[in-house]
Amino acid sequence: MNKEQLLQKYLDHSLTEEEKVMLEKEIKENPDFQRELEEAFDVRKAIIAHKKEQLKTTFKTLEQPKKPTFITKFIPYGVAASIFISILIVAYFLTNSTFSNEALFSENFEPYRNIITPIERSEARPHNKSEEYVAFYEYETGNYETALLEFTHLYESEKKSYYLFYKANCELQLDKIDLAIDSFLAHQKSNDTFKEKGKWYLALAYLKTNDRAKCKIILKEIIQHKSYNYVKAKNILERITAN
Amino acid sequence: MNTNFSIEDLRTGNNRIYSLLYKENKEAFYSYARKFTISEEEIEEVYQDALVVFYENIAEGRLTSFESSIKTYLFSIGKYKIYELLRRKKKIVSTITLEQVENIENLTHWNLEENVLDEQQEKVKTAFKNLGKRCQRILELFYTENKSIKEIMHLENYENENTVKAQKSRCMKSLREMITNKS
Repeated sequence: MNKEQLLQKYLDHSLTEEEKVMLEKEIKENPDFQRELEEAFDVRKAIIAHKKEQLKTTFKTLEQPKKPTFITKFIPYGVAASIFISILIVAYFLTNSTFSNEALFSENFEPYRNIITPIERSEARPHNKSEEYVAFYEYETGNYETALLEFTHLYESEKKSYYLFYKANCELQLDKIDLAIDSFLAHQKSNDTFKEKGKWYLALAYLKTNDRAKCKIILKEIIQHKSYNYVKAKNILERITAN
Repeated sequence: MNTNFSIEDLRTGNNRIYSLLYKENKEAFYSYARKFTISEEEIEEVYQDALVVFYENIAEGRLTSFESSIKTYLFSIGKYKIYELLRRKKKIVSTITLEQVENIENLTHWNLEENVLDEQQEKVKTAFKNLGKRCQRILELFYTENKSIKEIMHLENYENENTVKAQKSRCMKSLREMITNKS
């Protein structure tokens, strides 16, 4: 048994009597080893604590969409009811346009294809693959919730702008429109190859939230620069302007 | 129904693995927990704590082979957490001993309370977070996943074992420097 294995078994409290004797011997012969053991103990505790923090954040994220909103939790029922009635009145006047925005969105939206990591579709579940591979595997197989978690984590740790672009795509697909808009806007600050594509998706996100004004501004910009999907952009612009 | 993960998989603390476990066992755990007079928020907290404690014990090497299913372990920890919560809320007067919780016998040497770091360990944690991805990975593999130098070489595509050792030493050196500079 080598020194490394002794150290790992010491950390696991799984040394046999014989191994304990070996460890004692090693410490006697090499006084630095004692310090090494203490350091290893702290490093393990620290890494585990760090992983625990990450897990806690992940679990909170899993619960987030179902949490009661501020409005349902804190605003008294009377106020909530009056808000509801107001929404109904506004919705009554907006029905036609809301419907067509929604329809236009569905007609035009599909998450941007994975052009980063080729995925082997035959694989049941990626094993021993990088986090990036797993993220794109989930993305391609339509498991957007898990893909979102992976991209969020990857973007936080590596800050590569394309992770943010795919994260935003997941959010848009999962109907987390406000988050998607924030992510696409943040992504616009980067200068990667997805920047023009990001504009197209941002326009779609605004369309989905019925923010026609912002949607039009971006569509016009896409058309003017003949950038990604400008023909489709022209079509949408004509239809929302005519409505 | 439950996905099969090895102890090796679980030692990684991988977010994806634990998200799957979370989703797979949530409904059953919530139905069980609703039998007690605790709120939905409390159930959520207990359930999340149970998974974190489960990971922590696995990463510390307290489970070397499965004696029951992952679900049983999660339920046992969760039940202990519920009893603890009820005791704090004075719903159960006497102190609950571990034996009183069903299925708990295989957890007698587990630590069911979360570990708290001492000052030095907190410093190590902060420094670790600031290390590069490659360094974090090699230290995780060695110190928490108990991978041998040879296994790390294969897993992370290092040229030979000496390169792994050299890289590990460099990473530990950076970690030490960060700790000294911070304090």
